[in-house]
Amino acid sequence: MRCGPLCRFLWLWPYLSYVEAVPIRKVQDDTKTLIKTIVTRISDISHTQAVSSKQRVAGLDFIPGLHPVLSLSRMDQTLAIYQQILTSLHSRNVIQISNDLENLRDLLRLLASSKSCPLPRARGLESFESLGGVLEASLYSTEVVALSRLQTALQDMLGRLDLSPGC
Amino acid sequence: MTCQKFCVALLHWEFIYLTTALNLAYPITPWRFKLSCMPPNTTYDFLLPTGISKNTSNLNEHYEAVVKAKLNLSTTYFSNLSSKTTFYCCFWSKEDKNCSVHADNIDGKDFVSTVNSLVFQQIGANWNIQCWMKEDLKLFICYMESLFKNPFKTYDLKVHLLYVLPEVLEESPPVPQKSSFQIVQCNCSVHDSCECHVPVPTAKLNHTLLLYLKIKSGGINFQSPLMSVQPINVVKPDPPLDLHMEITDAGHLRISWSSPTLVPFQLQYQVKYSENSSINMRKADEIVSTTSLLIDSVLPGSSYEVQVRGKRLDGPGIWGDWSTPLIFTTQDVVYFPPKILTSVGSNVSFHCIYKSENKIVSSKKIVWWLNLAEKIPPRQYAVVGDRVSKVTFPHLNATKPRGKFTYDAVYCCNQQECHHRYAELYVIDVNINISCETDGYLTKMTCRWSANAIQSLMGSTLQLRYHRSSLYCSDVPSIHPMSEPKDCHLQRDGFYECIFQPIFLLSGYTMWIKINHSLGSLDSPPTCVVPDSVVKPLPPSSVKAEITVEIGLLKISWEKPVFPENNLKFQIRYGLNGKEVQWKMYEVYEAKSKSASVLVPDLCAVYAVQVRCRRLDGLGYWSNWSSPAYTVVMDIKVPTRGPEFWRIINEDTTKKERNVTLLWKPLMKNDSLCSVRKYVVKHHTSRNGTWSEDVGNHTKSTFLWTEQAHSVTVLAVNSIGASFVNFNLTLSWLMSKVNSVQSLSAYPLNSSCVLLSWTLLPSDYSLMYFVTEWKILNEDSEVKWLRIPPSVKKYYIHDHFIPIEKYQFSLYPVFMEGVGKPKIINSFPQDDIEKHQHDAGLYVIVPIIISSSILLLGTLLISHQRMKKLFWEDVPNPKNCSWAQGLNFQKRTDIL
Repeated sequence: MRCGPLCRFLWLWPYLSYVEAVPIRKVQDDTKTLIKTIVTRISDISHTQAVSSKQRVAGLDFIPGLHPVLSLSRMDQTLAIYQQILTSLHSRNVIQISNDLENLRDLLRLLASSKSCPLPRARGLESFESLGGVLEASLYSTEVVALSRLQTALQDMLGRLDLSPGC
Repeated sequence: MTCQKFCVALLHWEFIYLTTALNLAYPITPWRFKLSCMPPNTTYDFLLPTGISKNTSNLNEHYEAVVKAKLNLSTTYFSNLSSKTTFYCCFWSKEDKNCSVHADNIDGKDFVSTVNSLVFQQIGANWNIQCWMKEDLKLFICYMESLFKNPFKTYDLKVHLLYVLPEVLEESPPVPQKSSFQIVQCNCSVHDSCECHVPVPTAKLNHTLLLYLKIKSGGINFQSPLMSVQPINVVKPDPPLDLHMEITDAGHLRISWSSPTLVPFQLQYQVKYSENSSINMRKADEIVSTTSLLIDSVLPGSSYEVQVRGKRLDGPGIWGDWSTPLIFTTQDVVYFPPKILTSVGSNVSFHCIYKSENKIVSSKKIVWWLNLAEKIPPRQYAVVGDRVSKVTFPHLNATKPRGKFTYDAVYCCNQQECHHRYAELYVIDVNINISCETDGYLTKMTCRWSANAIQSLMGSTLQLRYHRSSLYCSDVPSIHPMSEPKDCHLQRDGFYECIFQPIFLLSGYTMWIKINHSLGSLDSPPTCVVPDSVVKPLPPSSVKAEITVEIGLLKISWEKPVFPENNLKFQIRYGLNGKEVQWKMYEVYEAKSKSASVLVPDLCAVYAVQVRCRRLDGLGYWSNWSSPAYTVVMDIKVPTRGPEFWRIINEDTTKKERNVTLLWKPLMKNDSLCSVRKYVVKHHTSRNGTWSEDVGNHTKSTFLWTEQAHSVTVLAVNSIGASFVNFNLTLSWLMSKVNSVQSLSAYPLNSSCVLLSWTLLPSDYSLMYFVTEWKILNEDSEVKWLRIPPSVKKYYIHDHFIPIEKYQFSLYPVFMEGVGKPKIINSFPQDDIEKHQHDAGLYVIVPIIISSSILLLGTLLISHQRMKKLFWEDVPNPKNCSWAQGLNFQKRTDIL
């Protein structure tokens, strides 16, 4: 128990050192700008635009749904899963978005550290390995649905960042 | 029968041999061992007393003599044996000189007897054997060589190795069947040596390999006892590679080498070296576990010879072969390091030991020179012991190549004497600027750098290395130990270009150039770039330009590029379209702006417009200019004024009518804004009131002037409407009699300009303007006219005047009430011009003549006075003249 505060401090130290160097205002601005950039990137992928939002796609329950993400940790967790999915798609369209998500998660961690929130790095889906068959058989569906939901999730996050989300 | 018995006995022997194999197999040692064989019926009459094997050193010479003495007997003895005779053989070694011989007794039971190996040495056949595993862990090798003492004939030597490698890894594997043994033929040379190769799978390196040898030589069969070995325990490394010697900064000799590449475990090394110099001789042998060894106090003018071999560090193994000897010779002056490659601004030191006339020069007497041109100040020296001197170069500047020499030569000198050998100092400017640019899609970052600064360092290779931090750059970028190389390609402009794609927009990429050279490697100062901060956006799209109707401003509109999402500022450049556009700039700092309007002087010209953008916070680069957009010339407003016009009157005296032709000049664009669709002549007379006449695009209009006064106005009309400001002209019979111009003069200044000047009479009418007409006199040429403001008294008329022609100039005063009476003069014909020119000459010549006359008259007067004076000076003085003495010259001469 004595280790608690010390461990927490050590855990946050790398991020605290960043916060010291980078004004938190800049981090907030960059976070919002990066979210907008990813949203625009997704919009620029032509085949995601033609997909009907009314049609439900079954069998892709592992892609995070459209539930609101209220906290920074939930945001990080959600983005980790999207990053995991996009990375596994090996598509030229989404490699850059996957990198952007990596940066976005780092920014969220900086924001969290500025609020003294311990934000352990989210790992994504543990059962993801077993989904290899699904991905292989339905790459297009997965990409389209994942990008569509990611876009919506990012727009939701953009709004919530203005409301100073909790840990 | 004999044969059958023999075969049965042989089979029996082999059965016994195999059943006892596993327990009695000779364990192959990492060192050499011997195989000795003798016929089965040999009686050991000369068996040595027990215990002699434990102390054989004193007896070696004795037994050597015995063997030599019996050599001939033994040879005879063996030669009498049949080829089917199988010899009993045993293994022994220096460490264990007892041989265990397996044989069958008369009861058919096997027995094992221990015989001292000296017996075999004297009468048996003997071989040296060594077996090992090659370092690639794939091949097991047994090497055997015949001892010269062998008393049998060694021609026709054939050796086979039979082996079995059990599948299971057990300490006591089941007894293998004879048939399970595989056979390999060994390669034998003429020197009575053979090498047998057994392939060993990697997976079975820890298994027990069972093997024995069948040797046939001179018609006699020999068969060794069974041997066993775990191949992994007898691995023999190859000799070490890249044996190298160098002198360290501290003056030691460093021997270094690299481990054989294939060996899977750590090695220990044995280093054998010798030093040979006029001062010292020494030999040494050391075992180390590292791949280098330092030898103290290297001496100038010495020779060092080194060999190294390796052996497994932990666990059993065999010493490998010695490496090829390496000889390193030091000169009379030793520099360490002999060459230094460093970067600008760094500090380096050279050490030296100087030997002169077989004596080491005291370090206190050593001085240093640079390029044999300048003595290095003693404050840069330091003494490191009695023999070693050190010089330090602080804050180095880049080496300036002198011809083909791209280094500075550093000399260590014994006071006034410098040895011809020198150390080389290469100082390279490694300040390589790396500039990066992220594309407008935010997916690619291109970094460029030039290698011009280090071109002088021949043989160097350059590599961009980078380290990516998760977010942003640190304040002071540093070279990170974990870095990655990046492929860069040389471009035509001499720059290297490296592309990062995809990118991490907000990560910090710390980059530097690594310069690799045989003398060492250098790193350029690291620079850190965040791709997001070096974005060059795409240029704005959908750029349009127009001159706004009624407002009359140049309006530019555009669409911002999709990326970046940051706020942008915009820069507009515009100019009159032409071959070389003179651009004017306008900046828009409102991030959400999509258009801007600027004031332009000429509303009826084609403007070219381009727009570019950049992040509002100043980061990144300006985008390229957008494609140019052009304005279209169209009517902006109604014409600013109507055209200036004049009239020409053709008078018909009989009818008292005058045909009046109105003339006007086409309205220019800056007045018409921007085109004229038609002209309208507006008439007004007291009798007929006002009416208009549409004359289209014509520039003249004729009407009949019948009334006392007739006012006309010419309007210009474009697509917007008719001009509001127009010139009026009233033709009045009454006013045409009013004379207000007193005089008029015309002075031709040159063939293209005539100065017109006039004086006015007082008048009660309000003068609006003048109109002057001119034409060539006596010719039916076109009348030219010009409107002149009312306030001027002279006016320069620019036209192409023909000097030999006479012109008529008329000046019309135009009043509100009508056109007044003109003043008409004939212009300046050539004669008049000449007359004027002559007059001008007269004005010059007359004063000259007058002044010359005055001068001449003055001269005559002065001359007259002078002559008079001279004349009277020659008249004699009567007082001095004898004949004139007493004469009165005032008296009349006629008296005489």
